[in-house]
Amino acid sequence: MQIRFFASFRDVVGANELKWTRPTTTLRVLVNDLCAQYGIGFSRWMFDGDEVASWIIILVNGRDYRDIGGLDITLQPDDVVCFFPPVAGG
Amino acid sequence: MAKVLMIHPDKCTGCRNCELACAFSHDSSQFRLRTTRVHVYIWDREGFSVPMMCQQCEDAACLAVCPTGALQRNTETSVVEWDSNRCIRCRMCTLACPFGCAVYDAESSAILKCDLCEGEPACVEACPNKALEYVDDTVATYSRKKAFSAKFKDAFQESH
Amino acid sequence: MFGWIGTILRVNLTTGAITRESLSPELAKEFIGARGLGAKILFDEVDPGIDALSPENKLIFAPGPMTGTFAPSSGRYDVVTKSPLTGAIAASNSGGAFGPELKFAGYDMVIFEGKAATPVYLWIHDNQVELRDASAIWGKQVPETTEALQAATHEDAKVACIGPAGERGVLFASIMNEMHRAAGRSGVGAVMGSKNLKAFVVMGSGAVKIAEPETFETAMWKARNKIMEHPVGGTGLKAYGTDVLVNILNEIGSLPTRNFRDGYFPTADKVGGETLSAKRLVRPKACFSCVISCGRVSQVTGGKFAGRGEGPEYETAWGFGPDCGIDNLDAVLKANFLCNEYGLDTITMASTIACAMDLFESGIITTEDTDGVALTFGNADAMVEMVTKTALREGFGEKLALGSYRMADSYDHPEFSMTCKKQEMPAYDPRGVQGIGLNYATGNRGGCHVRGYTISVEVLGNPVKMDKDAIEGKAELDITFQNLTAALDSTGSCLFATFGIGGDELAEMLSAVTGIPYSTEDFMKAGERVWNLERLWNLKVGYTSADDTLPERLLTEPIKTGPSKGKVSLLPQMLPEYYSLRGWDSTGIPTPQKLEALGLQAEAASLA
Repeated sequence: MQIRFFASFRDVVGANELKWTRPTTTLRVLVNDLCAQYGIGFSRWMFDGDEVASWIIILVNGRDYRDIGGLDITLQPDDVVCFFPPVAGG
Repeated sequence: MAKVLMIHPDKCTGCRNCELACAFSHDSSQFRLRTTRVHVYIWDREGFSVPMMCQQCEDAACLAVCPTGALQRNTETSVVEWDSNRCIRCRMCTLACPFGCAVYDAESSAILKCDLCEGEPACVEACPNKALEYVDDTVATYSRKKAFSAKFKDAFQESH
Repeated sequence: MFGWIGTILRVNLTTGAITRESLSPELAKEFIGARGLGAKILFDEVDPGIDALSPENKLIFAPGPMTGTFAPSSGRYDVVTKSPLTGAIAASNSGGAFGPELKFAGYDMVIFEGKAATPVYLWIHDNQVELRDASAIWGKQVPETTEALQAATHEDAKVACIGPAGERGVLFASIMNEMHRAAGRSGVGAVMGSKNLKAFVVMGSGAVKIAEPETFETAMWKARNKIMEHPVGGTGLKAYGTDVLVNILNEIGSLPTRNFRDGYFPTADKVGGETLSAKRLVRPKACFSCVISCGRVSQVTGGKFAGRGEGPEYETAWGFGPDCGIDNLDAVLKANFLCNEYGLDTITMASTIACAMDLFESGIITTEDTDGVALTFGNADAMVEMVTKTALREGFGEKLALGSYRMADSYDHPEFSMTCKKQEMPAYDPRGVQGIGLNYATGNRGGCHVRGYTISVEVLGNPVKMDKDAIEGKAELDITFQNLTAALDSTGSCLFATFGIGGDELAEMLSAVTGIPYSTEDFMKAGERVWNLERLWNLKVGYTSADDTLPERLLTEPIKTGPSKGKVSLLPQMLPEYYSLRGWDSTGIPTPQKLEALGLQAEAASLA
């Protein structure tokens, strides 16, 4: 699985992109695994309380996870998952 | 322990919220920015800005030149305070201050200089970028020292 | 008055007469200020049928009632006039500290009329107002003009001026204040140039009075904290600027690429905010009273694109980047700096060059038209060169200076122009984000994102998330954002404040500043009133529902690659619902009932 990081997540992870080979069933599992791997620097932006924060954008193959079933969607080995911390513009 | 108002020009983005807060805390009925005791100077071409205000000098020229004792040091807070009743509006203090941080306002017939808002400077509270800090005198420059010491750390890490 | 100063200044450039008028409290209450009040004055005083570059047009500078106060990110002013690019109403707003300074000098609005016989500038120092000779600075670029006028007046004076592009009537020339802040869109700088008005210089020592200081203090801190505690307003925009959007829009496949031929650009990251911050950012910069600091002071230290200035915004990085098939950040920065120095709107400039590249690659124009330059997608040198040619109207620059619609039309291919109502669309592909397409099509100043920034909901999920590809609920979303933005613009506030606050907080602050109790409903209604008034004026210009559309390419040619591959805009399915929810008839004309409900009966009568 291809994972891409943007903005401040790049500093936290230390990479723009990485190949994720650990078996991952759902997006929720992936998010938890990433938080475990990268610690507080990653998780403090990801969560608002116990929930994934509303300002976090996670794309699975270019679609926002909220538009395609939320955190429980199943991930495939050839998926591309993008993580954006809180950002905006205009 | 004495506190000082510390300016970090490197963090200033030129928003002038400090000026607005200063004017508002001294007269909340209006925003007349000419009455602010802090001024942000902005160089548009270079994209640089720095807030300027009275630093409550220990050897204060304004205080020394004042003929009536209208400017006095508060020994407890070390603020140079202005007494409207004693002041004869000769404006010698505005000429004496080498930083231009004492100003005469004809409309209110007052000398405008930073009074540190009785220990809770409004400008510090309003700065969104932490470019102004009100901190203990001896630790005021800690962050700069630390930032510079980090360069040593990096240099030594690289060489080992 | 509170919030408002109560004074309008009228400057007749033909006769040199300068007069003061009182601001009507009723009009102020209904239309608030800035964009809204400017629209009302334009509606009442300017015949929609005139040539925008004739002396009959008027040029209105107007801050809002919140401008100059401690309300967070509220220091803006609007320039309202008839646009030479679209023929429709133009309302371009800009930040910096020019608007607040105009308030402190004692004015809610300055109306320029007529045309000066020779170049002049207006110098306002409180009550002292004079027109001065500007022949010595005519021809100078924006930074040189600004410094020359500060030397001639006062070093702390605020200068709004045009550059060579505005002087030469480039149809998308901007007005620049404090060198880098732009009233950018719709060619307001060309109108200024047509009046021989080089600059407007102001310095003020007065005050903006607050009706209810204690209520204001509470409301202001509440709003301020909401913006600063919001992860976007508090940290995201300051760290990366608006350019951070490049990667998001690209990853969802809605980053218009090569003049909207596609929606995905594989090397977009090279011109994104992350790269900008890492490599070219000097420091963030803020406008007056702002808590966000999205501005970028940036620099290219060496090479052929060396320079220093401000920018780029996301739109600019996209336009001179992916839309021209370019991933060279230094070229993007150089083009941006040149636009600021010459006084050009970056969005229209970039999109017009992209259109010319498209015409060139399609064989419609050749090197014979382009002064020998191979104007191919990806040619960064050519792109930068074309900016200067446009500003100076040299060679092919004569064509580019007309904007993409007139340029493409002159080669009998107007369909290559990516415009709505002849104004270039910005950096969100309507095929991949449905709601924003409806907003472009219905925009009162043509293709524009800041009239109803549905991206916030459709892409960023702020304050709620809607599916970008769905059309359900998008008409309502567009209308809500358009009305809110019209009201917000009229107060003098910045659109980015809405990343933390909404109508509730704005209405609360406006009420405390002015002493007039605006409920959230009143506030939104004022926005709706402004929107409908602008619409009425455009109808009088001759625009019809047939113009509420998008370029054919977006309706029929699907995006070719990337995550939004295969999608087209579904605008025709959304537009009828939009008209209906607006209270307009099926031809897009506001119904008498709607206009009456908004208190626009008199204006409606003038339409008949």
